Amino acid sequence: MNRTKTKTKMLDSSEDSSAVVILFGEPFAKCLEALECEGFRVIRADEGFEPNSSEGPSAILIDLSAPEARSFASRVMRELPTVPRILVAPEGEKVPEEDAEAFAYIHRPFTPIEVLDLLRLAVESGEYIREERPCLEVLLGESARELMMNSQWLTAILDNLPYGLLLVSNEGRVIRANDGFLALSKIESIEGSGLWSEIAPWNRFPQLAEAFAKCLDRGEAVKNILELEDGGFLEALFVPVMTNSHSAGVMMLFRDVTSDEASRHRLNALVDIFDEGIVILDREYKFVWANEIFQKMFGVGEGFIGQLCRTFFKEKTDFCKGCTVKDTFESGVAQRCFQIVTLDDGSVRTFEILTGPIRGSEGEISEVIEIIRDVSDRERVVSALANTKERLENTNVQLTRRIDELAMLMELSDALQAVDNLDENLHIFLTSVTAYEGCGFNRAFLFLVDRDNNSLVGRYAVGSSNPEEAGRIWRELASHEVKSFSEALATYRKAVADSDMSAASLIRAMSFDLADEGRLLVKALRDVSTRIYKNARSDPESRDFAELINSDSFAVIPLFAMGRPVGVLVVDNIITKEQITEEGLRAVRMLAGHASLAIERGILTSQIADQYEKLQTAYAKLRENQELLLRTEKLSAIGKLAAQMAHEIRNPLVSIGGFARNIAKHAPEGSNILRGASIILEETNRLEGIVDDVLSYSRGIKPNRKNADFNGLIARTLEMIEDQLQKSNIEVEVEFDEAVGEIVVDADQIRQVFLNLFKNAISAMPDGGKLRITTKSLGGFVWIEVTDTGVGIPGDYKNKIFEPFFTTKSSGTGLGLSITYQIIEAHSGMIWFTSQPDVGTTFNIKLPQERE
Amino acid sequence: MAKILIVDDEANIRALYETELEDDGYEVRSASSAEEALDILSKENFDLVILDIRMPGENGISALEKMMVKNRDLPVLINSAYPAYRDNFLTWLAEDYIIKSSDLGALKKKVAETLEKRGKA
Repeated sequence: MNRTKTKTKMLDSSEDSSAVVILFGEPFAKCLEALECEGFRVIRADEGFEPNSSEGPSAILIDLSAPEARSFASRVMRELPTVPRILVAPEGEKVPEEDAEAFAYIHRPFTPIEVLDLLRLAVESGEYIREERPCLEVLLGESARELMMNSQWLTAILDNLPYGLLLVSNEGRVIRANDGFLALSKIESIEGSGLWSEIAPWNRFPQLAEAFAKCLDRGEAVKNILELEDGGFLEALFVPVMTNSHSAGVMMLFRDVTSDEASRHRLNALVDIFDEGIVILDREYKFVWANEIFQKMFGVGEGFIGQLCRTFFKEKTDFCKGCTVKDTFESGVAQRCFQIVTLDDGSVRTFEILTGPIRGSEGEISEVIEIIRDVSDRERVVSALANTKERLENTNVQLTRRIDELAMLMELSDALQAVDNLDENLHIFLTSVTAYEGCGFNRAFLFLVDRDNNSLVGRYAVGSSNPEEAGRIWRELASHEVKSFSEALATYRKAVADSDMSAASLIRAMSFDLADEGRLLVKALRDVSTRIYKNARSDPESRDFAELINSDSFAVIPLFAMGRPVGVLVVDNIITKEQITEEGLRAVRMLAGHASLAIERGILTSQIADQYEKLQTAYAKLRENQELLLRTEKLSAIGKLAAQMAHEIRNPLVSIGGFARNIAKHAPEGSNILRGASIILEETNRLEGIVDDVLSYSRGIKPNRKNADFNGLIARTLEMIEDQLQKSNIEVEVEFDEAVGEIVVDADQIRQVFLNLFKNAISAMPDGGKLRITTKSLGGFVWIEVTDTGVGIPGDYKNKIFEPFFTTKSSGTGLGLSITYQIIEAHSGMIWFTSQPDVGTTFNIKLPQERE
Repeated sequence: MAKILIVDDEANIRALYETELEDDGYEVRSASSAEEALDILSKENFDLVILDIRMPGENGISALEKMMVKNRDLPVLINSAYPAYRDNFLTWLAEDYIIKSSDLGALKKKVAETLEKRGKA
C-alpha cells in the first residue's frame, strides 16, 4: 500500500509537463483510465492526430495488431523520430528489425500498470533525449532495463503475497490482479474482464457489491466473510485507495480464513454444550457477548449487547450484590460468587458465577468472562446430604455394634456346629454369655426342661459368686485384647480354669416342677417372655428366686427351639452391679436362639442314639428271623423229599421186619436162622427209626397241647432209657422244682425232645459219666438244664448242631437236635447250649409256664 | 372166631398180616384196594377192619367214610406208614390210628383190645 502511494507521488512530481500520450489501437482502452488517473493527457490517434502539431507527444503507444497500425508506426517513426514508441505485439511475436529502435516492445497480455510504468519511463527519457540527444540511446537502454526489472520485482512481490489482490478503479474496472487472486478465483487470467463484479465467482456475493459501494462512499475499509460452496471461508477486505484526497479505486484483499472460521464454529458449539450461561463484559460492565444458554436462562431478548449489565439486571434482580466482576478486573484473578435471583416466573434460583479475566495482546485485562451455573438443585441436595450424613453417622455407630454382634454370633454358631456334644455346646453358650463383649454378664445360669420328669432342672452355671474370684477373672480378661470368639473362649477358660465355680454348685440343686406355674422360671417359659427384674427381693413374685441365686437384679430369658420350650437362661451382674438393659439383652437373646437349637439338637441326638440302639436290636432280631426263615424254607424242601422217600421205604421195611420177626418167632433157639432173622430185625428197626425221624421232622411240629405234669414227663422219659443209661455206666442226678407243676405241652413231642437230649448225652459219654437234669420255675417260665460230662461239642460244630442232617455220629439221621429245636420253638420256648471239650455240655431250655 | 378184613395195596404187607393174625387165631381176609374192600363188606360181615390209607384208586379215608355211613359200629383201625393223615378229621371216625411198623405188637394189642371191648374176642 505504501508502495502504491510512493509511486503516486513520483508521478505527481513529473506532471508539470502534462505529458501527452498518443494511443493507437483499441486494446489500450483499459489503460486509458489508468493513464488519465496518473495525469497523462491521452490522445487517441483515431480521434484526429496531427504529428506536426507544436506540442509534440511525450510518448506513442501503438498496438501493432490494430488495423493500419503498421503504417501508423512507420509514419510516426518518420515524422516524430525522437518520440519514444511503445509497441505492443501479439504474444510470442519476435521484434522485427524495423522496430529495433522502438522504446519498448511488449507482448500481450500486459497490465495497465506495466504500460503505465513504461510510459512514465518513456516520457522521462523523451525529455532527456530532447535535451541530451547524444547520450540518449545509451541511457535510455539502461533505464529501460532497470525499469523493466523493477516492474518484474513488483509483479513477483504481488504474486507472492499470501492474499488475493485485485485493484479496481472507481468505476469498477479491473486494474490489476495478482496470482493469488487468480488462484482464489480459479481463473487463468483477467484478460477481457472489464468490471471486477463480472469476474466469477465474486458476482455471486451481493454483499461484496455493497461493500464496494460503502468503501468508495465512506472511504472506510469494509470486511466481509464469504462462505464458499466447498464449505470454506474467505475474508474479503476492501480498502479504498486515495489519490489527492479523492478515492481513486479500491484495493481488494482476499484471504482464506476457513480454518479460523471452523475454530470459531467449534468454539460456539463448545460454548453451548455446557449447561452454563456465558457472558463477556467489557471494562465498562457492558455486554460484549453472551451465549444462547445465558439468553434463555434470563429470558434476554436481542439487543442486549452493549447494555450495562448492572442496569440490565437491576431492572429485574439485585444480581449485583457481591458480584466479583469488579474484583476480577482489578485483581486479574478468577473469582467465584453465588447469587440468589428471583426470576420472571417467580422461581427463586441460586446461581454460581465464575468470573475470569480475558487479557488483551498487551496482557491488560480487557474483558471479563462470566460463567453462570444454576445450582439451585445442587444446593438443595447438599443441604439434604448434610442431614443424611448426620443420620448415617448415627446409624453407622449402631451398625458397627450390630456387625460386631453378628460376627460374634457367627463365630458362636460355628463353634456350636463344630461340636456335637450337648454339654460342650452349653458350655460354649454360657461362656459366651459371660465372657464376650456385647453380653458380658457376670453370671449365667442355665435350666433345662426335663421332659421325662416334667420339670425344669438347674444344669449349668458360669461365673463366680465370690466377688474376689470374679474380680480376678474380669481383670485377666480385660488384660487381653480379644479379637475373636475362639480367642475369647480360650482366654475365658484359662481364666476360670482353677477358679471356684460356686455358681455351678448353687444351681445343680435346683429343680422346679413344670406344673407349678407360680414359679418364676416356669412362668417365664409359659409366657414366652424375657424379663428384667430389678429390686427382685422386694417383689413378691421374684423374691423366692432372688434369694435362691442371691441376686437382687437379674434377667430371665426363656429358650425355645422349633416352638418347644427347652430351658431358661438367667443372667445377672452380681459383681459389677451394672444395670441390665434391653440393649444388653438383645445380644444374649440372639445367642439364646442359637443355643436353643444346640440344646434341642443335643436332646434329639440322644433320642436318636436310643432309637438307634433299638433299631440295632430290631435289626439283629430281623436277621435272626430271616435266617430262620431261610432254614425253614430249606428244611421244607428237604422235608418233602424226605417224607416221600420215607413213605416209600416204610412199607417194604414193615414186610421185611415183620417176616423177620415171624421167622425169628418160629426158629429154633440158637439156630443160624434165628440169628439171621434177628440181624434183619435189628437193621429194620434202625431203618424204621430213621424213617420216623424224617417223617416227624418233615411233617412239621404242630404241638397237640394238653396239660401235663412236666417233671413227671421227664422222669418217664428217663425210665424209657434206663437200661441204656445203666449199660453205659451213667449216673443220673435229678433236681426238680415242684413249682413247675402241670404245663400245657404236647407230651409226645416233649418226650421226644428229652429222649433226643438223653441219647446225645449217652453218646457223648461212652466211658460213663454223669447226667444231671434240673427244672426251675422262674418269672413265668420253666428253665430246664440237661448237663453231661461228655466230650463236649467242638467249636467248629457249635453253629451247626441244630441244622438238619448234621451229625457227628457214624449212625443216625442228624435230625435229632434239629427236631428238638423245632419242637421247643413250636412251644414258644428257647433252647441253647454251652459246651467245653472234655468237660461236658449243658443244654438249656426255657418254656413258658402256661396252663390250660 | 373173630373175622378181620385187611385192606392194603401192598401184597407183602397183606401176606405178613394174614400170617401173623392167623397165627394168633383170627379168621382173616384181605382186599388189595378200597373198592374191593367195600365190595366184600357189602356181602360179608366183619368184626374189624385194618385199613391202609394211601392206595391206588380210592383212598382209605374215603373208604372209611363209606364204611361208617353203612355201619357206624364197625371198628376200623387205620394203619398207615404216614402219620400226617391224622390231621384229617375223617380219620377220627376210625377206632384208632396206628403207624405201620415191622413190629406188629402195637397193632395186635389194639386189635385184641378192640375185639375184647366188643365182646368178640
